[in-house]
Amino acid sequence: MDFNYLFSPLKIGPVTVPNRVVFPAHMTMFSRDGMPSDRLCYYYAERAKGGAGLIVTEIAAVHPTTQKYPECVRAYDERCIPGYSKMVKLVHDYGGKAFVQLAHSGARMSSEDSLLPLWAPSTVISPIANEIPHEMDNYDIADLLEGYAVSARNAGRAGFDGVEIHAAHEYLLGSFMSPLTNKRTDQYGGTLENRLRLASEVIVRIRENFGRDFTLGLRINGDDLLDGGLEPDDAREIAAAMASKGQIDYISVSAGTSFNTHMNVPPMYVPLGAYSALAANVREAVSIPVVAVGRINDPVQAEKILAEGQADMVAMARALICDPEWVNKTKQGRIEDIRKCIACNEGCIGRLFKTRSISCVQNPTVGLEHEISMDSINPAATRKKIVVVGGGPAGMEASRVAAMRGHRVILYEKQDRLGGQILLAAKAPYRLEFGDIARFLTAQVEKLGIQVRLGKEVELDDIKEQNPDVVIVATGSVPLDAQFPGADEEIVVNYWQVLNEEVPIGEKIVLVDDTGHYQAYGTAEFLANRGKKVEIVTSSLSAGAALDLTNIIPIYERLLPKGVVITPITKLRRVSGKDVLVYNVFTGEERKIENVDNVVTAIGNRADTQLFYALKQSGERVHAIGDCLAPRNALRAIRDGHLLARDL
Amino acid sequence: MRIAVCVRETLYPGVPYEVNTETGVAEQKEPCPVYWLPTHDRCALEEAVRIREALGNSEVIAFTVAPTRASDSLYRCLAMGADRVVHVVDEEPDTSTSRVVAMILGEVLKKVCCDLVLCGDCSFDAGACQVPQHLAALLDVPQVTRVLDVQMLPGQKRLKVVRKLERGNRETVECSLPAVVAVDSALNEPRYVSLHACYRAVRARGSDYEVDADTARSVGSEHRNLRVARFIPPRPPVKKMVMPDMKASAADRLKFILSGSSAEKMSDLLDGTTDEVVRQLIGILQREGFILTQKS
Repeated sequence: MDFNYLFSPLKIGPVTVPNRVVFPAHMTMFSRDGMPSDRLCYYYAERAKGGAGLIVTEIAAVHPTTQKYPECVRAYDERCIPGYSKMVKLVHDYGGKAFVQLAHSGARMSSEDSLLPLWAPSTVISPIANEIPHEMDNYDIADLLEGYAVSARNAGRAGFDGVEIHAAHEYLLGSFMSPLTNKRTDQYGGTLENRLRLASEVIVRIRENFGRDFTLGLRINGDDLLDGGLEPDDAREIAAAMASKGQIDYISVSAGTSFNTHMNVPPMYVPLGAYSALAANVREAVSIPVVAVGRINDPVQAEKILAEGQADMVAMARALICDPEWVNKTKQGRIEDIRKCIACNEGCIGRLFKTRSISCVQNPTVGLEHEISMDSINPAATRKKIVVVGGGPAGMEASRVAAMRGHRVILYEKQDRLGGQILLAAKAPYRLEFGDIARFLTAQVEKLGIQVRLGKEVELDDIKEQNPDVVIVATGSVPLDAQFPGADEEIVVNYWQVLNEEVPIGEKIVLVDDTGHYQAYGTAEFLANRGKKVEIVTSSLSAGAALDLTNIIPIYERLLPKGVVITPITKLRRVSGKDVLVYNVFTGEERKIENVDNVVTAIGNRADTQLFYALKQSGERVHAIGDCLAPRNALRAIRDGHLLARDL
Repeated sequence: MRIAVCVRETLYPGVPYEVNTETGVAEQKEPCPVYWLPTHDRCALEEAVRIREALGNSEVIAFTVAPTRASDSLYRCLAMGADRVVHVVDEEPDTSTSRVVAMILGEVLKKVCCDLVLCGDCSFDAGACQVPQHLAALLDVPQVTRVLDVQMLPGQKRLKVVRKLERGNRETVECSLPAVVAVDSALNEPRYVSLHACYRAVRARGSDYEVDADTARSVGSEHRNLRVARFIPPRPPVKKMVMPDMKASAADRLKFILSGSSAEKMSDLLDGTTDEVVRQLIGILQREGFILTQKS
């Protein structure tokens, strides 16, 4: 297929980008002590090497009051220039262009790291940190503008091709634009012109201080998706007003605020390309290039967005985190080799919410590019015969990397298809896309000529017969047997049995959750969709204890209207007949739930280690990976398999 | 009879090319630009050679206004059967608009006195389709374009040609010579030229390959006055698409986005005992005409 639009260059301001793919700004927490680190530089270099035309680096703080993490790069400190210069040079070497995103987070951050008051137009509390911000006065505004000026100067000296100003997602400039957060009565509040005044002043200061010709872009919300916030019509007006002064060269359109933060980085249940309509809406009102973002992960989809005039460029953060070679593979016509982002959010934004640096469920090399980049899967010194037992994510990833390194791999899987627990996870409602992990790995396993033996539960003797050099055991895990009194009652089943539809399920269900993850909540929704009455009992303080906000909020959004009852701080005492006794973890108060048709347990798994230890005892060179090592999740399973195979 | 054929080589479109965002000109970078003689021009040359073969006692001369590198195409013309080729060297092809090319050709052709000028209808790159018309005006001869069939009327200096009109219609025109005839690529099947023949043409290079280095320069720079002011990449208009109702509440807009922009779902969830639900279902099926009620 011809990707005519996707690969046509575009002139934005004085800068020509070689294609329409943007790696937009997103926090990584790879920098160190407020300065760009090697880790961050090579992270961007990897995506530029992978073909992205434009890289917009993660937000750089323009003022001490916006130091949201210690790692947030301080653009106002000129010591950032050497690190940034290195970053820009790497990106340029690979043919891409580099912009820096200058931003102030306003009230939508926690002040735990800066320990300075949060700055905002008015004292509206943001749910991100539940802190009351300081209402900025004219001295603060002057200080802020000076911060932007100094940051722009440093960015210019570092060699960046352009600057992007963040006024979306209720960052400071966005919170000035939105009537929900801006209740001021001075010249910075009230009418639309007043609310845009600060952004306009920032633009002027940046233009004056950058030092040479550059491209200036603005990121705005196409829709706050919040009552009282900015609506699509407002976005059009704002875009038209900001573009009309001729001071900005492009507009990037996103959506969501801190009050619906799960929509800033739309998770799996949000349809693909959800915000393209918002970008199209803005594009009708301006004649400068418009960038669309939000659940874009497929080349055909991206080309369609461009061809139908919805945007002039497509921004894909998670898609390129997952597969940095996305653009190159598309150009080479190898679309089926693209590892597509599934928007599970667990590796990337999920970790950011726990104030950890990002990773990716499917791509373990994220953040390690300075050590093990995608093209450093080198041929092994000696070709080995490797038997992999278990065709789940760990086994498949290990097989894939081992085969890429030239080893001869034989993969055993006892089911009649590859995929392991990925296939199970994909059975939950709105989680079908999770199965894409299996699609990619299965296709790669076939492509690499790995010998696959399906439907065979392999024994020690079968492996001995093969005479392998290395055995990798990825036999995964199975659900734990419940230990509470009455666990052997007929009504007690586990979540595998429910999702695999192995047992008949009645109407009234009590679901015991110890995982805090989709093992429980996916199963609950699976049952609720079939009209069952489900009560989830969990000892955690709230649902989804192991998940991030972008996944927890949708769980509540979807489960509660379906009549699912979530009972936290409650544990199961015993089951007798059709009665279930639960108690409050803090008060000990008991409650009997009567006439329960089924008790579904999602209390965790136990590793299936039998084959591993048998092999170890028999003297084989054997490694355990994934759930077989310890029942965890797909991210760790894939990482185990990948790193092991690199070393074999 | 002397037949002049005007040809011009262009970039071969089968090789991936990029559009320069400053000038709007297509460029082939990797590994190097590849040129070819486009189909229209070959058809024109083929027609000329066929006419010569039919009439006998004729001469076919190929002309090109192009930079020095275009010599390869001209050898191909010799191999295809042209008696002579004239290479009018123009080292500034980027500023040579249709009018400039026609002026240069006009200068050259005025000295040659042809009975028939054949050329392709349209060029492969700019596709302006203007050179034959300009040329005919400068030579003060009639012009016929979009030609699908050419017949020499016996014993006369006249042609009968079939022209392509819109929607598959055709027009037959009689034309006196000399004339400029611009041919469509459906005119004929240009003969296959073997590599051997091309080699022969190169080795035999002699007086049948003439280089004219002056005429192009004689066309003053005041005529080369077309400059690219700005190049705007294709900006497709926003195609009508399903968008959330801008007047709906935020919650409704969110629901719209989450449902994949599907229109408001109108679904009923049937409630009650099995009997009640079944009765409701039967009612729906009857109402929608899926089952017929039996009337006794």
